[in-house]
Amino acid sequence: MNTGTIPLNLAIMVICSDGRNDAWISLLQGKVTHLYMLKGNNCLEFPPDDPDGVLLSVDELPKDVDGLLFHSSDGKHWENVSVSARYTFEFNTPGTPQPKPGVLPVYRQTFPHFAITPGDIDELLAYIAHPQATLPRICQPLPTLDLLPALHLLCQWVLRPPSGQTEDNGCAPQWWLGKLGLLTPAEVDQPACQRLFAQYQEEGGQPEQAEPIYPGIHQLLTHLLPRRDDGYVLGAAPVPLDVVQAADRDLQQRLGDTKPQEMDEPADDREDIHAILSVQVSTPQGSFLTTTAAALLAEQLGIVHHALALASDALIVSPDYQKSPLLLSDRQITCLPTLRKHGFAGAVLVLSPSSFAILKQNHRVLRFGQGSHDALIIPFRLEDLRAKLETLVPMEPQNLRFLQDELTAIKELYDREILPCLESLEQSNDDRALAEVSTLLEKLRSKTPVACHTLVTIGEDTQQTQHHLRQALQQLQQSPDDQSRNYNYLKAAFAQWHDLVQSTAGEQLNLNRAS
Amino acid sequence: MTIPRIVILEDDELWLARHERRLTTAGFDCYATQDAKEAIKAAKTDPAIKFVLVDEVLYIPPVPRKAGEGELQRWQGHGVIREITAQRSDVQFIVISAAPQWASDEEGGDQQIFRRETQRLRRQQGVIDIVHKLDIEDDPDGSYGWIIDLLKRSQVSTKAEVVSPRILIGWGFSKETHEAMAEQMDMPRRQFLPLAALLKKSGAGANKLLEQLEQRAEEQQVFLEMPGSKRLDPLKGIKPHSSAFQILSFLARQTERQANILIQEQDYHHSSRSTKKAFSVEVESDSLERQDYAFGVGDDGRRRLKSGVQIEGKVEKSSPLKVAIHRLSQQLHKLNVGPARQLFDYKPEDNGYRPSFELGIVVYAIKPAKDKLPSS
Repeated sequence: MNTGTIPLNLAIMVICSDGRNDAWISLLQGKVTHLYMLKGNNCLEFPPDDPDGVLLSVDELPKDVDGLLFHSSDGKHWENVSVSARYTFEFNTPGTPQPKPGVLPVYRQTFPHFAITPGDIDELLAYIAHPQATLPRICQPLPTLDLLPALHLLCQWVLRPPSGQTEDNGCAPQWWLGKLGLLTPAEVDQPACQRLFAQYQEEGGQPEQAEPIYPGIHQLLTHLLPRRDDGYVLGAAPVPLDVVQAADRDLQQRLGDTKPQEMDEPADDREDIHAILSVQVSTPQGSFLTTTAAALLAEQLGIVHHALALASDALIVSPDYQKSPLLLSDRQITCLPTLRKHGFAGAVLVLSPSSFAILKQNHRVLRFGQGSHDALIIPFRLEDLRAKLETLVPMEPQNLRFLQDELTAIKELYDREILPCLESLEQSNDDRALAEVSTLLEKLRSKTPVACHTLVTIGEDTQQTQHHLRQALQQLQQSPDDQSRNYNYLKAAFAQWHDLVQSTAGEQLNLNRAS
Repeated sequence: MTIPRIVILEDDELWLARHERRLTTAGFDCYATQDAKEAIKAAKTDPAIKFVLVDEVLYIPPVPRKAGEGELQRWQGHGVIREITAQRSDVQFIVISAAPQWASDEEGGDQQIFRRETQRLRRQQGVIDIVHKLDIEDDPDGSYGWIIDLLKRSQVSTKAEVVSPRILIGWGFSKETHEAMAEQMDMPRRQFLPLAALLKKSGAGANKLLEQLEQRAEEQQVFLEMPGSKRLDPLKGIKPHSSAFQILSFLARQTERQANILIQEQDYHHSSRSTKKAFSVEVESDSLERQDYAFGVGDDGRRRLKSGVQIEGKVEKSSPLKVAIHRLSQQLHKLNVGPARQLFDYKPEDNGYRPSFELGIVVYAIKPAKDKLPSS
């Protein structure tokens, strides 16, 4: 609870059914005069000085609030209470809500790492209180680095080709654009060229109509795509070596030097890689230039026979390539659950500015099988790409099964079984209801053994989810005097399980709808 | 005899140390590791390794980690077993599972999923038992004693030994009676007491004791014990007083009496469900009269069928025991005891059925009935 500041005269409502609502409430409480929370069918009001909140009926909720924050999965609860808001914010697990009219997306991860700070909340409340203020930073997408790392890779190929490789047609503009996946055979794609230059400005911090901050990169791009009166055209002349060198210097200055990367031992039982896949997903912050360039260069290096790009509207890998390695940018990890659900077992190499240690902390889906998931920190050397690909192996069938089971568990178990079971238990905790819970827990353990084995903290007690659930059930069975507390414990244990499984699945359902 | 080497693969260092200490104290040479890759390598390359104790779900150490964290190793228990058996078919495995048993029997919980999970683990090649961590926590001496005993038994037995599941009839007694019996048998900590031990002590009066105990048992149920397993799974599908129970109970009593383990038509008391009256068209007649009517003596002095007489094959009535055995076989097959056709052998010379699985009787303590929760 925040104290010591005068609360703003605002009414804010948080709609979220899982543990994240507490995180929002703890940041918001004390900063506004009226704070409401809708958690499933429970409505609470949090006066500035009451951390427990006051239970309200649905009728007691206000019809209008100043700001409303809702989790993507809880839209239906919002519809049920019909509360309108001046400003609406949508958040989800990885921080990738789809932009919608009248709804501001929160581009921050909310689970397992709740990446909202008190400063972010101050900005958000200031925006609600004074609309002329700038858009809160949490509603602005973080700048991505995609074009520049891709150009860095291509410059390496031209200037420092890996042993046994020649530059080939490395100096022809067609080669550069082809490796970026932007070349269309008929004519230059004008919108794609405009996006490319916009991306350069964003990634290089280049203000419009100003002198180029990185003249080398700018010169390279204008050489590849010179602008004429009727738009961009494909450069006719080969790119001179000095232009590439100048661009390379600028890229190193912008991206930093390539650092030595941690490498595992190559796997003994690794089979030949048939193909490398990359994904061209058009998520709002999606990026695929670096992964496309890396995949195509890996093909040219002879690491694989083919490099294939998966279209954004068909995240299903053909059976021939189910075990091929996949290159993803960190923004594309959200599409991995969908691929895994459809049986994709290939290794995943994430090309990202963050280390794998950070990535796997934020993305549970990357933790299902050591040796099948790894990251290359941008910028990286081509030799490191080869070395990483040699260490990765496809997922073991058991790990894939564990993951697939978790990915389907939310829909199959939580929505269809756990919620109705909790409702019936709340109404009547007789032996029959308890036996139903007992059977359900067995199903949970059988269907999601990894989530059930994961340590979670409830109150001050840290133990495996399955042991929390078991303990909660035993308490319900053995201590009829304190049913309310025991029921809340069971609900909290289920919520922890839900959060874990939800974080694995990410917001894949949203992605499916978008694609 | 050389001491076999045992690989202990457990991601949690506390459990690893616990297993290692117990088995080393029991005289085994242990190779303890948290890394699946290392365990696979050791088992594949060291011929002295004969057993592997393997955890079901394996995280990258250190385990336990902070809440919400944990990355799975490349191989899980199932994968480790598959990798090792691909090269070493002589290695045997005991799977250590952390799966809690959610419901106790009297709470009416459906344990089918738990049983199915356990059976799924047991079906893997080379797996001789599944031990649950909660059992070890509840009774460390008993559980480790069991594992050590199992390892020693498996070490002595040849690998061609045929092991079959056991069906046990359980007789439930009050806690006090159970404790008294346990004391008499010198098995104070055992949940299930083998009746054979008690009968052996009683000597000549064994049959009488058997009958008395059966009459005094407050409840009866059927348990399944899979090969090498310590855990007895109650078979809720077979109710007392059912035909299946009657057959199994009879055969179990025969086993305990050390009599011929065979059930014949006369041992099976069938109560027909049929309400329709069967009309008998058979004419009451003396068998000698029938023979006089049908047969005569020919010129050559031989006995022949008279001209115009035809003997009709007698249609056998379907045997109630045969039907009951068929149904029981189907039931046991579903419980993974074995293929239905192989569970009972028909012995024409004895006109009875002999089970291909082992049977026995155990005595257990009935848990006191739980107070019903008030409905709110």
